[in-house]
Amino acid sequence: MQSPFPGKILLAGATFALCCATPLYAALGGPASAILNSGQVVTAPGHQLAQLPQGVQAQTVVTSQNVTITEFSRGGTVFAIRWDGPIIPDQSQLLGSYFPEYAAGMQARNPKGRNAPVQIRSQSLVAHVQGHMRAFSGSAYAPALVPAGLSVSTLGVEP
Amino acid sequence: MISWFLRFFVLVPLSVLLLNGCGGGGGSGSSTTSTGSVPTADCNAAATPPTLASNQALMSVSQNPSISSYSTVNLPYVTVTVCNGTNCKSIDHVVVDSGSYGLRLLHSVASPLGFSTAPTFYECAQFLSGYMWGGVYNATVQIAGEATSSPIPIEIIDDDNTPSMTPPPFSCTSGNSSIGTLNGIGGNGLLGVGPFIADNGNYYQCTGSTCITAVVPTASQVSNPVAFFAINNNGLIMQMPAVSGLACPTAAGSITFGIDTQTNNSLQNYSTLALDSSGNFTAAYSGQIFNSSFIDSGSNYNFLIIPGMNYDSNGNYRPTQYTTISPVTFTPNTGPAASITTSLGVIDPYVLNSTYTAVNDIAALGSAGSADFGMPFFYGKSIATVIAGHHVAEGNGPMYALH
Repeated sequence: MQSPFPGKILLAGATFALCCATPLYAALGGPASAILNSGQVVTAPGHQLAQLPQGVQAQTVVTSQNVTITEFSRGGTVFAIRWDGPIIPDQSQLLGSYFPEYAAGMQARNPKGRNAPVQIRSQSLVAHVQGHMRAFSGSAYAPALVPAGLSVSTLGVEP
Repeated sequence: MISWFLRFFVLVPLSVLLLNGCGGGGGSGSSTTSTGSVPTADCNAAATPPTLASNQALMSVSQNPSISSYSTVNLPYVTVTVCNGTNCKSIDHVVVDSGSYGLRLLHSVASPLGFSTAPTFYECAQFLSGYMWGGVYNATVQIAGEATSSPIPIEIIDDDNTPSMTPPPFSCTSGNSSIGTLNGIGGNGLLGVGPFIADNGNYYQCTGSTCITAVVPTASQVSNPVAFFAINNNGLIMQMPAVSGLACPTAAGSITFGIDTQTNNSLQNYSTLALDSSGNFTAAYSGQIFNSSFIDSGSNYNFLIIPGMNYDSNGNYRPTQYTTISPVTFTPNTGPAASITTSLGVIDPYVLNSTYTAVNDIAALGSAGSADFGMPFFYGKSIATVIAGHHVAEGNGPMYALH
């Protein structure tokens, strides 16, 4: 798929290269084990949820601001994330090296109003943010990292 | 302009009545979309301000005279008086937002009242289109004849880069744009009056240019001012006149404060809808189910997924003909099972007069699981909120009631 924002990704990548603090939890495309650095681990890392396809692991943390983040990994690499909570969590921490693409998409969009849902769909990232004050939710995945044959919607991640 | 479209479309209203009546005929809850003529309404009547009692404020949709770069479509404005001690200022063109909580004012507008020393807490108020960065200050808030009984936390948005204020940290901006400006808000501030009290927001404490996340007690969070009025503090009713399916230049409605506290705020004859702890309910139409749906005067479009309808690269739905979706059912996710059946109209916004600001029947792309019934949904309706923790004869907050 052709990225709708080919020119802006490079620009944003340069702009944001210095920004990102050490993630408090595993970032998209990063090692699942990084979640151990985070706040409260609700589901133990490495726990295999029964309904998940073979080889996919889910782990959940709750941040100090009551955002619940579930990360899906395979072979130790996070390929999809979903979250919900009263605020929008820091997307640079959630998306890691994919954040510049997210930021470029955000800058390129022309929202129809204050509450227009976010849908970023670029070559290597699909991200959604929706909801309203006190009740936001979102998801993101890296299509190239999703296990073959797996539909992310079965994980509660918006395709 | 008005006479132009009245001449053009005066022949159509009967077919609209038929449309509204036929959508639910599919049986077993099936929902249909149907196309047809555009509903009409009297724009002169829509523009006429209602007579107001002391617990009522004018809520009007019109072009903000301070904004020249775009049409302030579907932004409902109210005038708010804010006091810092005995120093007060009346601030017009504050946008009424039933989808957020608390009063947020531009520093450039509120600065005659002070609010310029570094605050204890900063807030990054988050919206899907961007953030509003500012400081938290205490102020008395007055709207029409109602006033908070003591100062409450409000956000003063740092739109003019006050030297004493710390700029937003990266975790606030996070790829987003600031909408904490006159053009970003479409007004001088935002009045969050949804069915809860505190905003559960994203707060910081800052030293110099360094900010860290702060957990702020509920009582110190930016909060819905209505909950702090002396008597009429359990909710409100937003009433807007009907507008033409082809939009109207302006529309004048009202906010009535309090529920079942005076003769003008009873919910008799309203249909109630309990809300979950997120302020959401389930909306269903066209065979789709959206379980995190909400009603929001601060959304200037209806944001929702409409199966099979074309939309452009900006997300505007552009049906080739005026389209009615019916029935649209609202059912609670929790609490009493009472549900509401309604319908939605959708028109291509590019056929409308671009200077008209009161526009119903426009929709833009939403998200899976969530339908946002925005300001277009308010025209021709009375929509009440009962704030969480309050109980009225018709039910318990948080809830909506529609009439």
